[in-house]
Amino acid sequence: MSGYDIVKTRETLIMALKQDDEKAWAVFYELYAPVIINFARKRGCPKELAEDVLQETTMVLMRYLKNFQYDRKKGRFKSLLFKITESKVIDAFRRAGKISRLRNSELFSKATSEDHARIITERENIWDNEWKTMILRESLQEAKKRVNSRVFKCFEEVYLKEKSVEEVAEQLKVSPNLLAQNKFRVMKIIVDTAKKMIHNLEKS
Amino acid sequence: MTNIPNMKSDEFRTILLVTSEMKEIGLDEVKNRLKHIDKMLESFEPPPAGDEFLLIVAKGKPNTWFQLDSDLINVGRAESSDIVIQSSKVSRNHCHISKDNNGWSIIDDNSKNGVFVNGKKMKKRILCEGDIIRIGTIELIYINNRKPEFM
Repeated sequence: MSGYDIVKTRETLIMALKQDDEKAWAVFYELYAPVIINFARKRGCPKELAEDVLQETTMVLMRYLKNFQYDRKKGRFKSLLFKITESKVIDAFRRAGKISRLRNSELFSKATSEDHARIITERENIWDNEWKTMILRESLQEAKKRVNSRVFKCFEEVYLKEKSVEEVAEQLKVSPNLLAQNKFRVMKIIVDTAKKMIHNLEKS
Repeated sequence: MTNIPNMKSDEFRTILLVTSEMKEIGLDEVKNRLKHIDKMLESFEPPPAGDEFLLIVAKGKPNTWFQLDSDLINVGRAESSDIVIQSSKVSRNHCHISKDNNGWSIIDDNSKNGVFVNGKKMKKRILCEGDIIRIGTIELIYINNRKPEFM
């Protein structure tokens, strides 16, 4: 079962995680672990520190989610996960000696409110991009599962590898018309899946 | 709300690259480690009041909580150690755990059989929550009991 399979049936993934549903945790690792890891990497963590960030973020969820009174008005799961991950990135930097407690507090006391807001926005943008990447990646996998390998190959060659229609039609021995149809079919699955995932994930 | 992704080839190529990069990350190791910790925590009483602890696991079962309430904790076979491990695989003064500005670290004191953190032999490691330290047949799981302010 893919992350999408579970997300599409879950009104709130967070509820499933709270109930310690093993499938929900599998979704967590499949969908969110790459978001956390890639966010940490883009914030400047080397591989080992990024793994520490994932470990500590998951530990927080594992230990506190069950008794956590989730108030949707205060923010969505996406925002909560961002806050936890960002705090663990800072902890990882501190442990690695990249920032000291003192230097960090000095940095923030000298920064203007505009600087502070800009830093937060930049970090949120990294998070949003990783979130979007997760949705696209899962949508792409879903499309790969739903069509046969030959149909997906049409999409892959023309769209992803940017080869010419004529070249691919010749290579796969299909008409340019069928090639275009196959490409469109895969694209439609990706877009529809992405829309559903966004709808379901942002409800939680 | 997240915008519907703008389907550009460049973006897809990036995604495919990111997917392959993920293979380098020890995701399964982290997953298995945390599953093990979850099982240990589920089957044992919660830690008493305090900030930071080691959950001592002996023969695969959680045994006791050890509170990290002094800046230096000696671990070994010697009776004078703060954490005494009676095992022929453990040196008299095997390792120590100490606190500095960066947090808690475990340091191997030239033990015969070494200190393993998360399955890797290490001379020194700054601990992060969920680290599993193995010394001989004993496991020490580092737990930070401070509740995050946003939870």
